[in-house]
Amino acid sequence: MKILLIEDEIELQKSIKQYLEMEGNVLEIASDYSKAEQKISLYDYDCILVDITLPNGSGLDLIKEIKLKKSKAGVIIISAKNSLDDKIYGLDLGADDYLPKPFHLSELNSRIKALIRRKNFDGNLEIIVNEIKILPNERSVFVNDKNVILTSKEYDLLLYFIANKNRVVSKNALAEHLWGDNADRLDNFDFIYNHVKNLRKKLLEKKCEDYLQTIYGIGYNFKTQE
Amino acid sequence: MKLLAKTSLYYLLMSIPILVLSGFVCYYVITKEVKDSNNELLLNREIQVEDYLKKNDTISLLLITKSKEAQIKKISHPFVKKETKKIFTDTLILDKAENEMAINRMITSIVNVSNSTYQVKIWRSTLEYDELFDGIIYLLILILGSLFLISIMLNFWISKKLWKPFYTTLTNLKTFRASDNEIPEFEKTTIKEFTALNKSLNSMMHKMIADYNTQKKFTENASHEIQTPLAVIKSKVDLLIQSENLNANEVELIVAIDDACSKLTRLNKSLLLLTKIENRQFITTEKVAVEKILDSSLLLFEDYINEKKISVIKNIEADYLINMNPDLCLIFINNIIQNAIRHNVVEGSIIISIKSNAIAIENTGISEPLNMALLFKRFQKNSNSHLSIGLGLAIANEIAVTSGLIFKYKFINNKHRFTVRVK
Repeated sequence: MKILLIEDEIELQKSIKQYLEMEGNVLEIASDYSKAEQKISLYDYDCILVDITLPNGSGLDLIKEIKLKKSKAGVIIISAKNSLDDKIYGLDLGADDYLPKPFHLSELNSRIKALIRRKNFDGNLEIIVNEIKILPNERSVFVNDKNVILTSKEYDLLLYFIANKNRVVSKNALAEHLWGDNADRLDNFDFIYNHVKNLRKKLLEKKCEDYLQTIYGIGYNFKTQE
Repeated sequence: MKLLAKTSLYYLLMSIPILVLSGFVCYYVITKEVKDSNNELLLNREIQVEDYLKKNDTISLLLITKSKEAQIKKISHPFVKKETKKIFTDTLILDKAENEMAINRMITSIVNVSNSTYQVKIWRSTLEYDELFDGIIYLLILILGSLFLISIMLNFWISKKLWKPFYTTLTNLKTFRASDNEIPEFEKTTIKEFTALNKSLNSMMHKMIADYNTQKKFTENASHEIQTPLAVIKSKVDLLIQSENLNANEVELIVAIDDACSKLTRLNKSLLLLTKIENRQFITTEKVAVEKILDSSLLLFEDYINEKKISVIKNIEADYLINMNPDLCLIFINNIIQNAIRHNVVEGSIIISIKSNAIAIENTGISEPLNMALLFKRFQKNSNSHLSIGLGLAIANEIAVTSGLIFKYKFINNKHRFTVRVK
């Protein structure tokens, strides 16, 4: 997948690049408005990550240009501003998602995956990882073609793990994914532990391989060789 | 009471003693003038009579006495002989026409004509003082009444015309919001005070809008400046945990950094949210159905509810539609529910009642009322909930204030009850 990252903070560029390239994505970086403008006009991307406040320009104007070019790229705004006006305006301009900083890299990755799914398959698709098949539209999961009944949170966790497979996902990232800004307590780690335990049990019951590894103290890793 | 009505009332009240006083003065002046003119007239007649007596003009004297307004008596008392004093008196004489005693002014004088002494009495009916008094009172009441009528009409007219620019200014003030970035149109007026008022209000509004924008900018910039380094830390931690073979000590350090970073993130977000609510940056409102939001909130905190074995009871009479910002409503409900769970006891309960115009959320908890003074203050933490940052209720209260809701706390039947209704 070819991704353009428009972001002026060097350290954040490095992190995102490193994380997304682990999966074999190609990442190009633009640090300011004019470079971004150039790259948008010259190349095609699957996904464009745009920061709103940029040196010599606004990311919102770049979104206008992307849409003007009738680019098929999915656009995610990654902004530190978290300003409601920008969010509404950005989405109105045609951005597909809005992820306020700071975010976990795993969250960004899962948003990108979800966006690409929506874009490329018009939402009609299956996610297949070995014996696991997920139908996102119906929020249903099959293991070896047998339906696995998951709770809403177990389903969200499974999708998140698969989006970040072969990566360690921290408990904080999971808590924020499940509870958003309301993840205000540390004891939600116990709940995550329970949900993951139940999820794993339900998958194993249908003779699924045990992909979920617990990384002691940190979180989990959905490990699979495809 | 309108200012104009009040001033008119004072004018009217003030005019009563003035009218009464002027009534007395009128009475006094009129009676005095009447008395003086009568005296003069009587004196003239008396001189005439004296003259007739001296000339012995009996025909004229007869005419005068016939008119029933004079009496001439010959007297022979030696002690009045030298008295030529003329005395004016008021006396009651039967008025044949009206058949009642009427007040008359009378002159009594002693006239000496060639050794004979006459007592001459000439009178003349004069003003009836009680009638004059009544008349003046009627007049005063009439004046007061017409003053009252005139002031009402004047009030109506003045408030309609003269005070119109002032009322326009008032409406402008009521509807003014710095967040609209728009200064309302003031009505042009030739009245000096109103022009000055409008002018100073206008410059004040300019300043408010400018301040609001600076503050908004500052909030956004602060947010940007803090969120970006936080994003860097977070992403570095995310990368760090990918490395294989971390030892237990390293894991502990990373987790501590990650937890602190997450807490700082939430704290910063909450503070920014508070500032934004205070700045009234959530403007758009729509009809929000509360029940749906409550249900999604309960689902979100399902784990917390199950963990404490809290029983949730819902009494829904009708769905409550609040006209407010949907994002704020969501945060508001989430914060109240979270609060009700956090400060609950194991196997406690949460009772949610929704009526068409109010919501009440009751929860069990510590068996004493919370300190009202500190309840909605920022960073107020209950000792047993060290995990929270203590902004939940402060945010909820701020949302209520800016959304025109009444948000109240009460401790009844050993339960903590929060109620919400529209102002």
